Amino acid sequence: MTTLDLIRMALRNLWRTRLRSSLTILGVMIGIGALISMVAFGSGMEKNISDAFTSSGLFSRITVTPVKLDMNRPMESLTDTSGISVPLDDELLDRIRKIDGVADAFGEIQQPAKVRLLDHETTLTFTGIDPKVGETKAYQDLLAGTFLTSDTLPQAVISTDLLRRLKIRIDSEEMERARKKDTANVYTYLQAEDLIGDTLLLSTASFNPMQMMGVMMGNQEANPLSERVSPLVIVGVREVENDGPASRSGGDLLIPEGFAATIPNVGFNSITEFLRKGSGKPDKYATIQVTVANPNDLSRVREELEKMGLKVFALAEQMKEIRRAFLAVNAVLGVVGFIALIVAGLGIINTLLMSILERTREIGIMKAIGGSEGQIKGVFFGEAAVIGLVGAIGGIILGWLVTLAAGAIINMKIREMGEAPVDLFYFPWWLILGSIGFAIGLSLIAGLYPAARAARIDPVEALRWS
Amino acid sequence: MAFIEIDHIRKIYRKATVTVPAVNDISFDIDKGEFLAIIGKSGSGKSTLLNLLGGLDTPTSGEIRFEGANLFAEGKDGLVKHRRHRVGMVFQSFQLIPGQTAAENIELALAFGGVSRSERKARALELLAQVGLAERADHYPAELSGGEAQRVAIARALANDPAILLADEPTGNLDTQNGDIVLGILQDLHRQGRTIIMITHDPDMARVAQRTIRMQDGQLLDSQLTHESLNAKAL
Ligand SMILES: Nc1ncnc2c1ncn2[C@@H]1O[C@H](COP(=O)(O)OP(=O)(O)OP(=O)(O)O)[C@@H](O)[C@H]1O
Ligand SMILES: [Mg+2]
Repeated sequence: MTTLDLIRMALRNLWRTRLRSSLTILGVMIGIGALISMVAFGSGMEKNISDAFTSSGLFSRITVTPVKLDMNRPMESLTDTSGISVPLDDELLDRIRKIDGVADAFGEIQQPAKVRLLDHETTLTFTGIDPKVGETKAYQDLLAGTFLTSDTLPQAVISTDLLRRLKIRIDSEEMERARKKDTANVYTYLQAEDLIGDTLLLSTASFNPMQMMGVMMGNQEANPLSERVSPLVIVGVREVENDGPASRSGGDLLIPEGFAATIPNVGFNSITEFLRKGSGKPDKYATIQVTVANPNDLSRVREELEKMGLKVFALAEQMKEIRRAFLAVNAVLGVVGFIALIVAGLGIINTLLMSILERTREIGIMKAIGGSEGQIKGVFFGEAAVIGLVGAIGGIILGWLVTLAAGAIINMKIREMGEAPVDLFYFPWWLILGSIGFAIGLSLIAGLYPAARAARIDPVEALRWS
Repeated sequence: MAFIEIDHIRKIYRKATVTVPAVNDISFDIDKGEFLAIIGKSGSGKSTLLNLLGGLDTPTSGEIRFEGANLFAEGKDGLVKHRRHRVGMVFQSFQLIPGQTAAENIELALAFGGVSRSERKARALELLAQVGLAERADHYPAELSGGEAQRVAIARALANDPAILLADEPTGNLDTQNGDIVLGILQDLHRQGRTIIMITHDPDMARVAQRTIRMQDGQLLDSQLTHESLNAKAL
């Protein structure tokens, strides 16, 4: 009696009761399918985030901020002003550029604003930036036009993400389809190239302390906030795929740093400026982006910056935290799938016990003609293993199809909302192999008790039935 | 030393306060190549004794020695080896596996006996030819007549060429004609030198045997019944 004999026998026995066998296999398929699609979802989210980080060069970037940004204690970090001492200005920029291992450093001026383009309006945080950053990895994503060419002219580089929020569609492939659906004419349709040379209106608010005093003293005419509208010429359109962390930090609208410096500001960094009033030196920049030549130097450069009394933030180091968070998410998703598999395991036990009841006499016969307890166990283990293997392969296919369908439906909604489609699910090889191994393992464990029970059957008793 | 020595063998069933001595202190010898018939009333312990001889059951006490070696001395492994190679069993209700063809039923016994896959099919057909059923190899038990099914069962019992054939009322479910065919096969096997031990209720069948023993209430009543005495004592 070889293993092949056992498997052939198992297949035959399963085929004999094919309806019951297929229902049991279906149970395993659903369990594995649930487990695999859940974990694939978690892995997909994690992969999207870490890919976005890698492609945008965020893993080799350190952000110097006037206040400490700490993802673990966001509120606390914003109100912690104890360390404010070094102003973020050009002098500091020069010092940072001299640190060993630093590839480059650029200051960014950031400010909230309202933008208007082709009768569409939205709010954002724009970034005033040195045109030279156009050469760095993070900005190699132009769809049309060029990067900023001057430090002082009112130029603008906008992102596709911003266009989406402005309800302007430039995706030519889907344009026709979308245009047909858009019966209310909510969207404007054009090519990215068409936007080059267009004028974008940037409205910023500025804060006048003297007028504020006026308000306090009861002057009805006084208005501490004044609006300023700056027309900007669009020189380039960047392709910013999704709402990842790369695009949120002011990347939607880039304008030359020199020009940005002329816009009076109010908002985030003016608060810290206000708190620093005594030192007299204002921050020129909202942040300074430091790029290291080699990601391995990141920790060392970070330490040096900290020694200079700067507040720094490196997403690469926060990534460990993010990974840990995803581990927890995956574990929870995995547990749900695991429960489905336990139920499937009970189904296997039930099926095997039932077939032992039906085949009691057969087991007696096998013993009478020379079958050992081990061989009889083997027959039932074989059946359990086949259920597990077929169920696992079927479950992987089922899980894959489900994620395919779910991904298509979700992406349809995402497109309707004017966002770019994303790959929501990711199947790493360890998930596929792991779930096959796991399903077979589970089936064998489920087969343990029934097999032992079958082996213990007393042949004299079993053969008495006729 | 006899071929088979049954030595003070006992099988006592206990359930709550009731004890049933199914086989109660039996001793006798069986010679090599002997054709032995066992007769006795229903419930006298015939099947229990045969199952002990077949290694399907273990005794409460006593020994059964085959060529001097106690069958029950080596535990389960010894019993499995005994069932695989030394004895073949035939039952009143055929006991073929319904989901397998005649050939496959025999091939399973061959597989347990360690015959390689490639040889099994040919061996099974050979065995079926021996009982005159070569052309029924691919038929399922439900497609066979009682007589044919019992012949397949005999072929299966012979799969691993055992020296001893144990038959528990092999003709009990058959008409006279089929019963005679089966009995004829057993006689042939006896002529080939095999030891045949057969339980029967039919004195005509017992007459074919060289020796007949009679059981009653788990004990041996006569161990040397001749054909004449069988005639005299109606069963
Ligand atoms: N598992 C058991 N538990 C209790 N008593 C049993 C058990 N098996 C058999 N017996 C009893 O043992 C006795 C002998 O049974 P056995 O089957 O050996 O008789 P038999 O001579 O083969 O009868 P028959 O001719 O009807 O086949 C019977 O009284 C039976 O009820
Ligand atoms: Mg009986």
